[in-house]
Amino acid sequence: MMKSLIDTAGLKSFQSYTNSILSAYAEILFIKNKKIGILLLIATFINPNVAISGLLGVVFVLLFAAYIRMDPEFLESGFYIYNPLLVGMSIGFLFKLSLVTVFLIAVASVLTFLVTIVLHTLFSIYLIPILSLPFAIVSSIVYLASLNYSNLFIETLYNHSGLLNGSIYVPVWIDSFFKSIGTILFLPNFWVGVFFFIFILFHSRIMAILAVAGYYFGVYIHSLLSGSFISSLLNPYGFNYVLVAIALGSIFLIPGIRSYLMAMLGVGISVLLVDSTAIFWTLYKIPVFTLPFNFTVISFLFVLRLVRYKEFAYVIKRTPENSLSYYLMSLFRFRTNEVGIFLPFSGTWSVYQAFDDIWTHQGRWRYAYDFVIRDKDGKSYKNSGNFPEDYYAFKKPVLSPVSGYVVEAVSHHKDNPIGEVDNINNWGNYLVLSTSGGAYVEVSHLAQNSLRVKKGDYVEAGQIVALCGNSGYSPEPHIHIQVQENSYLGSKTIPFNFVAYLKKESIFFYDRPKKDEKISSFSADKSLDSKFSFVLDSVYRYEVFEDEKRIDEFSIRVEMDRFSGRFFFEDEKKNRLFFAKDYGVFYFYDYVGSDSSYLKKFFIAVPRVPLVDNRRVRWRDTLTPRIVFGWFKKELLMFLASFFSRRFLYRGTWEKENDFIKGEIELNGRKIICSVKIDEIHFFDSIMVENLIIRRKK
Amino acid sequence: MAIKTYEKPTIIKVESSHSKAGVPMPKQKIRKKIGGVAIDEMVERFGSPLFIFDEKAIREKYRSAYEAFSSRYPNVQFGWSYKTNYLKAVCAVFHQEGAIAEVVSEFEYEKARELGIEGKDIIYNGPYKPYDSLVTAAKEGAKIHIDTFDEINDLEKVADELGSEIPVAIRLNMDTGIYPQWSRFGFNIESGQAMDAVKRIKAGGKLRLTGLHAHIGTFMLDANAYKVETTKMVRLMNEVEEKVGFTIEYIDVGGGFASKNHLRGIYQPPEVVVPTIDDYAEAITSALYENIRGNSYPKLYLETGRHLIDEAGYLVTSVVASKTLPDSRRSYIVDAGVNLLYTYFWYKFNIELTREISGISEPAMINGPLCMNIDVIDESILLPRLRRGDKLVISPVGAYNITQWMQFIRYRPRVLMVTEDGNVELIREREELSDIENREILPEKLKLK
Repeated sequence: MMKSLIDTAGLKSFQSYTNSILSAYAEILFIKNKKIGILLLIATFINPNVAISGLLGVVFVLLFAAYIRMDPEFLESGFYIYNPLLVGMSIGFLFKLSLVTVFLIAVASVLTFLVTIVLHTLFSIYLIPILSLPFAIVSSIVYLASLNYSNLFIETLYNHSGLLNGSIYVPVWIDSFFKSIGTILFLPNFWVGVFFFIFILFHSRIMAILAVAGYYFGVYIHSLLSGSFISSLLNPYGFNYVLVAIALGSIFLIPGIRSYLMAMLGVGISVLLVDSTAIFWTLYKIPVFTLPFNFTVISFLFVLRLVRYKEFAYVIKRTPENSLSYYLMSLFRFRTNEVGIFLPFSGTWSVYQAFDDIWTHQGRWRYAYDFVIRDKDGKSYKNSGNFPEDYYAFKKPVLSPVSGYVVEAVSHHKDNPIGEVDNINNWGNYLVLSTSGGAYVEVSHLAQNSLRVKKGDYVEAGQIVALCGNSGYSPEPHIHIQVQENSYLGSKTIPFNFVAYLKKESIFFYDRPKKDEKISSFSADKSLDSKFSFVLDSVYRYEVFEDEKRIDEFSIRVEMDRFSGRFFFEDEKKNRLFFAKDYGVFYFYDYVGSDSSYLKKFFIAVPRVPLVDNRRVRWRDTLTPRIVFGWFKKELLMFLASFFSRRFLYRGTWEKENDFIKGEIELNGRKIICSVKIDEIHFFDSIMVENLIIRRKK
Repeated sequence: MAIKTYEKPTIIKVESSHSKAGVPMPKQKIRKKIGGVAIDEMVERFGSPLFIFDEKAIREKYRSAYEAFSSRYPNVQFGWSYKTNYLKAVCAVFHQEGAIAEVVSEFEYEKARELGIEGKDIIYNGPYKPYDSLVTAAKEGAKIHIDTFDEINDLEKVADELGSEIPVAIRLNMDTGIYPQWSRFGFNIESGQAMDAVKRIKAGGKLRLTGLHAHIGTFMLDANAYKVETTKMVRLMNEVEEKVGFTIEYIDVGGGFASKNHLRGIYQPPEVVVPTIDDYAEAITSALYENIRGNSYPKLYLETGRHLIDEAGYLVTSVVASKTLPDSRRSYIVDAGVNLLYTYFWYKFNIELTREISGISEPAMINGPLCMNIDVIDESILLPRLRRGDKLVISPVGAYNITQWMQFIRYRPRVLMVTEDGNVELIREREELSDIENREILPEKLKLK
């Protein structure tokens, strides 16, 4: 028993090591796919010297990692191994394998590993990647040092294996491109390049196009400057253009016209860097490696991160197409480019002042909202309106708009009689709350001594924090709310939106009500909420019917990602549908897996479920081609979406009444009709997308 | 010229217009219109007596009550208490405004269903729910509020019969510092009986507890009692969720909010003693906020009946005769009696005239047409000398009278509703002989030749 436990543990760590090695191979070409990793690993054996050296580099690092008892989980992504692998290969590229070389590889790869961790730790302060900078540094060191090591055998003096040194004629402008691709893995061979390019093309059309465009643009710039097209093509460091174009155009920035232009600018810059470094480096007989690529991309990312560049890929998915899909959905479904807060009240209130409004919401304080309660005649008070007590808003609860800490809390100012304002303490009684995103929310004109929280308290969104009042520069009792850059009073305001609100029967998500609009807050109906609360590892079985004929069945399991803590449903084939539930809304936000999975239908049928009670509500949502379609159509449309994103977004309307939700997604000229029935006890009872019906099996 | 009937002269003390110490004389109370429609016209068209409901007043009252709660607490639902007034038109107004139905018997349950309310929008309360009605309610997904341990047994049987788990709530009673304590309904919190009931339900495994319900009394003049009630309920909820593992989806604090009616035995006018809806809302919602952990807010159900309907109902009656009593008081006999005014037992009604009548006010008594000594609508009221045919408007009478009135020796009168747009709708026709006799069976041998 004990033994088998150890065995499985050992197997698991062996598996995670293998995974990390394969990931590292694929990662060199920015591909996140272990299968392609295997193919690349096999391909390197065209030059066994390079292949074995590379593998040795990895093995030494893994041994070292085990020696210092590093958690194998750290290594799994291939992130820490990728640089030592490149260093190993670069040594194998230069020197013939011998005992001395092996020793050199061991030393160099561990050094790379150390440099990787040091640089990564430093760079992560600025949240930018280290790319293959450790490799560029350590390889240069190794090559420099080896000038003194006459005991090493220079590989190039020996016979290369003749494999694939085919003799068909290929024009040099084509040949040079594929050779450059091959060079990325130290295999400057036309056929290898073709293979690699096919992998890239298979993985991502965007990356493939960028590789081609980047390469020829770089060559073109170089030839303009140098005057010789042929010498530009034959430049052995042309692969830097490919890497820069892919990295900037699709990996670290969201694919799109802006990013493509940025990528070409980066390629132009890398031309200069390639030529300038080449002069110095060649002096010492060191290849330039990926230094120009690293220098260019890291500089760009540093600056773009600093200016909070909108198209920065904060979440990098498996392919650029996926990153784009995720980005578009985050932007259009959750407006992640802005701060979203909850309504600070309960019930139905009217917008008294919105952004850039005529009275006080101007200049530095233009991004703010004022709310009052109005009756059906549009009055905000009963009786004469001569006393604060006459106003509907007065002393009504103010609910926390965010989950965060109370940073400032003032409550001693008196509530002004109607007709008087406090010009000195403009804000009256107020609260400043911190948000997880780093901004601050200020709520003011609160009633005297009505604060239910104090400085330093942690509050949950929706919790009561104070009562509405008439303190400060307030003509009548109202709630003023703004999001600001800093915690101090009167700090510059920034745009924000409200996470969810109701206007009559329509629910708006991450939107802004207009002036004088009447909006209501809603909170999760507890009974519906409990239907969308999931216990880990619970299993739901479904049967699938097409035109009422039973065609399949499957089951899904509730799982949690052990790194991020994100929840997802997983079917038998390991396809994953990620979901979340925040304050009254259950939603799907990501799908990872095959297009044939029925899980994808869940996403299409109802991307978002507001957990409101039985009344009828309507809302809109947006999906990308990646979710709506499959296979070739999906890939083509996602590629096109990188140029014209809005045209390839699909908007739909959903309506919920009682436990029934029906939706319509508008495609160009066609509609997808879908519906969902919520189960009496838990989750979905049935899901219908066009003629496909998925029914819960009990 | 008609000859006046002779009346024996009497001497009574009447407050003159020059009252003592400058205290103003009570003014004649006049109401000419209800909902903008002249009362005299309605009487002329539909006869006397008449119950009249003001639709606009109902809707406004409902909206202000809903707004008082919804602007304080994010998850509010009103249930219209059928027993307070189950006239179809009245219920329909509340349902249109968004209220669900709160019923306390299978009869009321059927009434709500007949009106088109779905089972899931019915709260089924009461100490006795016949077995068959429990089956129907469970099948239709009504919110069943259990009152006794016997009912737990019944419902478990129903669950077996239906082969599915039934979501239920339990009714609670507790000490909220007011007298009388309504301890005969539901399970007591302080004695631990409520927790026993919860555990019993859990142990049975056939019912799922989803709500807590209580109703602490009626015509509650102390808003703070609701704060005590809500606090105790939320604490019980926390305990149940933590220890037993049920998720409590809603808390039903019941009703009992007072209307602006004048209770007998209370000297001050209702404007002074009756808490406003904001007072009640503040008491209940602040207790919710103070005791709920986190921000998962259960739905708050309210079953207030009287507060919402009482002031929208009027009874118009006409003087049919008058006389002077031996104690010199004037007695007016009117065509509506206490059989129509069940609430006379507690209330001193507001009685108004439909026109100004000159002359000094004198002590009077208003008697109904019933041939019974107790038929007294008001024992002592100052009225100017009324003539036959003069009308009196009695209010507020919207709550309980229509459901508890009695067909005694007279037919029950017509009921009107003045709609929002000023139309007058007949919402209940005057009874006639067949209404009363069509359930009777006269044995053959007793049939008179």
